[in-house]
Amino acid sequence: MSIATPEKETKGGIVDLDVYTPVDEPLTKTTEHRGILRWLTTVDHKLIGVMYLWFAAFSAVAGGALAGLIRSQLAFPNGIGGKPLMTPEVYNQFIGMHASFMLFGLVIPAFAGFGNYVIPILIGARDMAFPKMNAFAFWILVPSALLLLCSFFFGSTGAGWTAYAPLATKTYSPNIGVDMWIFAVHLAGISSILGAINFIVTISNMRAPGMKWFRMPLFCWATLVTAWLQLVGTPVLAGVLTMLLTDRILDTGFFNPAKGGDPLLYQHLFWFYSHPAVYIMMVPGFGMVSHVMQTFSGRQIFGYKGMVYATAFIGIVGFLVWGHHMFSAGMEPWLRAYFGFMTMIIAVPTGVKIFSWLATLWGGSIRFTTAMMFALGFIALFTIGGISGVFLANVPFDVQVHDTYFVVAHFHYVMFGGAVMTILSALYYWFPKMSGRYLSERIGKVVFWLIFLGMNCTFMPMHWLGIAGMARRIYTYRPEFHSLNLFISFGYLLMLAGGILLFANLFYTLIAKRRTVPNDAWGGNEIQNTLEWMTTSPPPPHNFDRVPKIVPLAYESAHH
Amino acid sequence: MAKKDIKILVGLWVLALVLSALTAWVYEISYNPAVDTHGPDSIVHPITQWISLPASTVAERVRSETTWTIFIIFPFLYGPILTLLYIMTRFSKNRQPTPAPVRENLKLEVAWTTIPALVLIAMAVPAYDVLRYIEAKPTHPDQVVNVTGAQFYWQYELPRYGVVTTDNGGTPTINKETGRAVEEDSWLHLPLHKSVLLNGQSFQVNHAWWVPAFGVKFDVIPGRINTAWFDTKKKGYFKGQCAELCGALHAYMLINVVVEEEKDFYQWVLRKGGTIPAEEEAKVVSLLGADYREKYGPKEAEKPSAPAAAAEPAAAPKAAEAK
Repeated sequence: MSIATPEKETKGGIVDLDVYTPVDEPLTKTTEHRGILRWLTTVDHKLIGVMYLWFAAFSAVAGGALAGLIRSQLAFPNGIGGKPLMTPEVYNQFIGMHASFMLFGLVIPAFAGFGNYVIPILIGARDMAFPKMNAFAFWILVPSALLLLCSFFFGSTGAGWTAYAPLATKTYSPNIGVDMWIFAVHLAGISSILGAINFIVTISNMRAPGMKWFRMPLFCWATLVTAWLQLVGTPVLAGVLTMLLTDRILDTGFFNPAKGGDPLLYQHLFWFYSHPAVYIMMVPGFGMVSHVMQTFSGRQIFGYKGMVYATAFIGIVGFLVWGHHMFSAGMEPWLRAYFGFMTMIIAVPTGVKIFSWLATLWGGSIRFTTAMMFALGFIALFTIGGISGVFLANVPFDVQVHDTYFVVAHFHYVMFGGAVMTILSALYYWFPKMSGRYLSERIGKVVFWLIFLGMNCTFMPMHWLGIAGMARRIYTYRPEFHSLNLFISFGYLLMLAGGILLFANLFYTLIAKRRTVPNDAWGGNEIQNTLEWMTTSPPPPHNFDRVPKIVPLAYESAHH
Repeated sequence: MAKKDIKILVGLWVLALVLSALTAWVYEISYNPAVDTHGPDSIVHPITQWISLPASTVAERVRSETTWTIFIIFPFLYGPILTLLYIMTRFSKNRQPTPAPVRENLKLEVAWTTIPALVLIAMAVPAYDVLRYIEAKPTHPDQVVNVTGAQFYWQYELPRYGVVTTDNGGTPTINKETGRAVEEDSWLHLPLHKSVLLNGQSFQVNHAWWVPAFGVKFDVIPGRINTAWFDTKKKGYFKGQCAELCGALHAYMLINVVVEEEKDFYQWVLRKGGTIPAEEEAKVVSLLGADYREKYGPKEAEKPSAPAAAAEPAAAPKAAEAK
């Protein structure tokens, strides 16, 4: 499979692994440490990638457990047997922490993990451009998570993950846990920025000979766009949280109107980062499912360049729409209209992506592996999330449902139905490459259906709750919402069962199964032609024995 | 792509259009004009919302604009999902053992870029129209209400009458004899068929005043005065809630608004110890009679009670006790 023959070159285009000089040494020497020390000292992008993924798994457990606590409170708002489950203060901390773990702990690190593992291989490099910085970017996440966990015991942010001033200022949130939370996000931000620099330099400079920009697989494009978003956006978050911190500690009054500050400034700066962050948490997933769909439909992606341009367009316009989180906050009338229209515009490239995926699948020969089922499920769920997003761009409608469960439903369809589904799809897809073992397909399908059904049971009724008038971030609600909330909590249990099954299968596979996976784990890579399937599973530390050279694909030469 | 497949694809999208029209229709008929004047017993009924009971022109316009949005946007919800379901059955490995090679199709790509863009314009234009209506605040409103959000209650001031009242939120207690809520007088009362301008302010943290049936949600933020307006088109008891996380008891910051006939409204104003301005004197006399002050005004002993309660923010919210 790995070596090209001349006929294949003319037929489908192929990577020639044989023409360049052999490389005996990996770019950076991995030392001979064994066991735990090997992980602690490694600068190998693959091991770092795997650690990122374990970190994400840990955060998923933490965030998922918090979701369970939130759902139990909402299932029994009056407590069980007259005994309340938690105080409102604790509940407010739970919702803030749930979001912090899921966003900063699960989604961003999981994408960083897959990117770290796969990107250098996809572009034919031996490692990331800055391997030591790569290790640093990962390890700085550990204190971040520890701070986040510990902040619980010191009364963490009761102002939600958005930590709006003035609620998050010293007067109304005096606990030191909020400061710890700010530092935790700072550290995660440093990790993000360093990782972004590394990806940009790696993808720009370390592509194998012949790997031109428009021959890069889509995941590389997606990661490149994401890295730029992180590089431009994250410093703004760091800035606004620093201002919040100095407001808290030094009483600088940036957000205190009595001292000439403005609480609205916090929202503008926060969303200037946090709206692009939505795409940071979504775009890599677009790239990953494109790979999965190509492999299991046996077709190359339809409209490759359109996909690349759509991704870049989403990235750029993503910076111009932050105000749609603040439609009710009070701003210039024309500004409301501007942010609404800009947000609608994003629906166009997003639609291009969905249509391109459907056109890719149309005429294919679909193999229903677990990875593919997650990818197909992603299309359906992300479409729902995208459509509710268009509704939210519609300002008069948005004002009605802003800060209600409709918004909660929308962003869970995007973050769970979008990001997490792509992460699970990629997990099933690349796990054999990373570990040399296949996850059980039979159990995988059960996991898929539990999560897919549970997800819909949980988040679909929230649309109605929001329209019917249930505000978000409330610890108890009007009695008429009780039955739907009970149903939603039941949906959570389905997802929980799916999650437990997935982890059990993951550990069982790692411990009990042997490495049997061939280079091309899923077969049929001659269609998609990506490099990760042309090296061993798992790959050697230096990825390829010889530097690959990429020659044009047949369809490429026909059109240029 | 076989001709038959193309026909089916077109059929699926036509089906998507039909389903969208159906959804928009179901949404439209969920409007229930029979629920017009629901009395105090409706306190236990669902939160008065803008779909089944829009009670202002703003809410009505948002509602009909939403019907239009559902009609033109939902094809892009049903279309992809129906197509996906068809793909999953038609192009499985069993039924299609060898995949067809991908051919570029620029026309198709241009079509699925421009058509959604045009549809979005068709959505944006009426949305902009409604937005302009929302922004067109009356320069001479019939009623002005100064809304103050506080942790964790709402305070309303009707400057024209000098009435100040504090809505402590929480679930109302029903007086079994009268069937009315004990707290009713502390809620915001508004006269029917009038335009209302709300000036929102806060001195502590952000809140958002939200009554779905009025189509109004606006944040009250320290250091600025946000405004919103609506007109009262239906009589009844309307519920709302604080819609911006404001601290521990955020969930208990409920809102109750009573929209009533003008004469009932003036009675409430008088009960709260308000004064009738000279230019409204004649109207009040014609509605309530010349001796309205003696008939409906607060008895001497009670007189200061309402303003006093309002001036004393520490008056422990009922919600705090509930905790």
